[in-house]
Amino acid sequence: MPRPKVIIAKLGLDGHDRGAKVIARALAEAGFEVVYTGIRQTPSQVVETAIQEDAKLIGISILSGSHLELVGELMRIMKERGLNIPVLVGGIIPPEDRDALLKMGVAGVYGPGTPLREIIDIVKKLTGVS
Amino acid sequence: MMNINELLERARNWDKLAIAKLITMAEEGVELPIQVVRRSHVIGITGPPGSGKSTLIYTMARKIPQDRKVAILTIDPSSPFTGGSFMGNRIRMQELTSRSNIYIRSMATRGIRGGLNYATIAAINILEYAGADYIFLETVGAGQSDTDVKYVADTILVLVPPLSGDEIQALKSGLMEIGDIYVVSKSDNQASESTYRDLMAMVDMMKEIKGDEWRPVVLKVSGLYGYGVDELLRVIDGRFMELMKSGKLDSALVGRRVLEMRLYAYDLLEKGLNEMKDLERDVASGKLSPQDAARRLFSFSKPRLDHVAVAVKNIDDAARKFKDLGFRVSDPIIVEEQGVKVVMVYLGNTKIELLEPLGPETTVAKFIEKRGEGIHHIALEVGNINEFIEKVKGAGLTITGEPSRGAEGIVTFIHPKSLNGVLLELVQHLSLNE
Ligand code: B12
Ligand SMILES: Nc1nc2c(ncn2[C@@H]2O[C@H](COP(=O)(O)OP(=O)(O)OP(=O)(O)O)[C@@H](O)[C@H]2O)c(=O)[nH]1
Ligand SMILES: [Mg+2]
Repeated sequence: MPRPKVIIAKLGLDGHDRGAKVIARALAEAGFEVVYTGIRQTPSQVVETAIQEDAKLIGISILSGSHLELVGELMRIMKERGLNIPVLVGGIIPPEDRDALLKMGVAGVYGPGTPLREIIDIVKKLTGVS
Repeated sequence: MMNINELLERARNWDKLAIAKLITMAEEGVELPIQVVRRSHVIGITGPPGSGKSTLIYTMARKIPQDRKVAILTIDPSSPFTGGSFMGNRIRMQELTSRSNIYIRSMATRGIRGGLNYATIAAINILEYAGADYIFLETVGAGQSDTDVKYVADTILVLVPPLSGDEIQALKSGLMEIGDIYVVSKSDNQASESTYRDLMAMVDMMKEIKGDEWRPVVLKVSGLYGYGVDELLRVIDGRFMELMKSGKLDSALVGRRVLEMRLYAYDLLEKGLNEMKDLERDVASGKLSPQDAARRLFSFSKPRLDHVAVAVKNIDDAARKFKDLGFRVSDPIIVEEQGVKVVMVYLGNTKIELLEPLGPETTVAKFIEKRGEGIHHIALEVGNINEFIEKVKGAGLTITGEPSRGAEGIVTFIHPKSLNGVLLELVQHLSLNE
């Protein structure tokens, strides 16, 4: 299979890294090359990383509650830098914020309890792996 | 989507997006038209898992003046089962991500070998072309990658974390032979002093075995706290000046190219193995022996079809047609001994040889006069031409004459009258040093 590269990143001052690591491992198991950036990333660092790695998708994990500001900033910088790849967001996202994120251009929002299978399938679909 | 030339143009200006796209293309097997002119110091960083490689690269790169371009390639293992890879080296370096002079790329080992792969070398070529002053290559620090890195790195840094004497003893097999600089990493740690002593003793012993040529430096460094890193950078830069002066920097390109060939061959082999279903069926049904089937994967097992020769009146005209069909063709060469001008048309594992007669009295001119343009002979490559000639004589066939110089080696022919009207050429290629 082709091996699209995906970035899994944690934005802001959020130390909850378990979910991000679970997702990164699961995608690696599914055959992806997954770059895990670790915690405390700024939106511009994540965009730079995606450019340097020629990534095909960015996955953001946020459990701190700052998702609207941080993801908004991420989408803005991506646009500015001409980076046009899908972004997924996971973590603790209140239902009322989902639509706001989707409106910003996020391709999907996945909270606790989402089966890993479902996440792998959407990443495959978005990166063109059949 | 930009084309390759545009990307190359932009990569030359340290455009990271272009560099990244080119490396992906190389990973996908695209051959890039890059002529490397040496300018980068390629520094291989190896050492056991967790010895502090990524952290040390981070600290070195952070200390290098911002007017120097720094590229970092970190290699992570691919899963042999799923092919995926969890790439975590960046975690230690992310703070450098936004610096304009620094480019970081994670690459997976991919493939059957688990060491470097041909894309790693292509990436080094791209980064050198893009103008990197330093290229740090972090290996997975185990097995095959140590031998590989020897052929691509100008300088090899071996990290030895604080360990017991017995553990250092255990390292010696692979790691202890390749280093130019040995670094006791995490030297903020209590145990580092005794590790340093044990390592010195170890290196002294290896010096006795390996002789005067090998003069590695041993340093104590803490990547995390920066201790000893300035000294390490001075040693690295000093070595680079030496390598440049001695011409070793240029000669290292040969090793890089040969390794690239080998690694590409492993990749082709792996693809071949994956597409072996027909052969598997033939082995299962007993049509082929396992050995014969395996050999078919290698187009270079001999004797093999070396080329089919076509006599033509106008070689430039003929060569252009093949070029238009998308084949790579050689420049014309004159072979006085055979009275012909020759152009080779390259096909994966064999060739078409176009022949234009040099004058009306040559055999090829007479051939065209009598039979018109068309297939002139078939050539087999043999391992040892003299041995093969004995076989030919043993079979009662006629050789046209003593072996002589052909376009690409030593050649002779089996006479068509003794072989059902086929003129069969025998070729033995000459190796580089003959
Ligand atoms: C474990 C935990 C901790 C651990 C974290 C350990 C670690 N290294 O991860 C510790 C104890 C350190 C901790 C600390 C804190 N925590 Co806490 N913590 C939790 C807890 C109980 C579980 C989180 C977890 O690991 N879940 C397991 C993983 C696998 O699930 P997940 O991350 O949700 O991931 C799943 C999905 O969300 C999704 N997903 C996640 N990321 C991504 C990314 C992509 C791309 C995709 C597609 C999907 C996806 O897929 C995953 C699998 O289904 C949650 C409560 C909860 N039930 O969620 C609180 C919780 C997240 N913590 C909370 C808080 C407030 C804190 C503290 C601020 C507490 C404090 N006052 O000190 C600190 C902050 C620490 C810091 N620096 O950020 C709050 C956050 C509230 C909010 N967002 O409004 C929560 C929700 C608890 C609560 N109900 O109040 N915490
Ligand atoms: N005390 C101390 N710890 C260090 C030092 N350098 C690295 N570490 C720690 O050692 C661990 C591994 O460091 P890395 O830099 O990831 O080591 P690595 O060799 O790149 O690891 P792999 O790539 O996984 O093989 C981390 O927890 C680091 O913080 C150092 O100089 N001193
Ligand atoms: Mg590392």
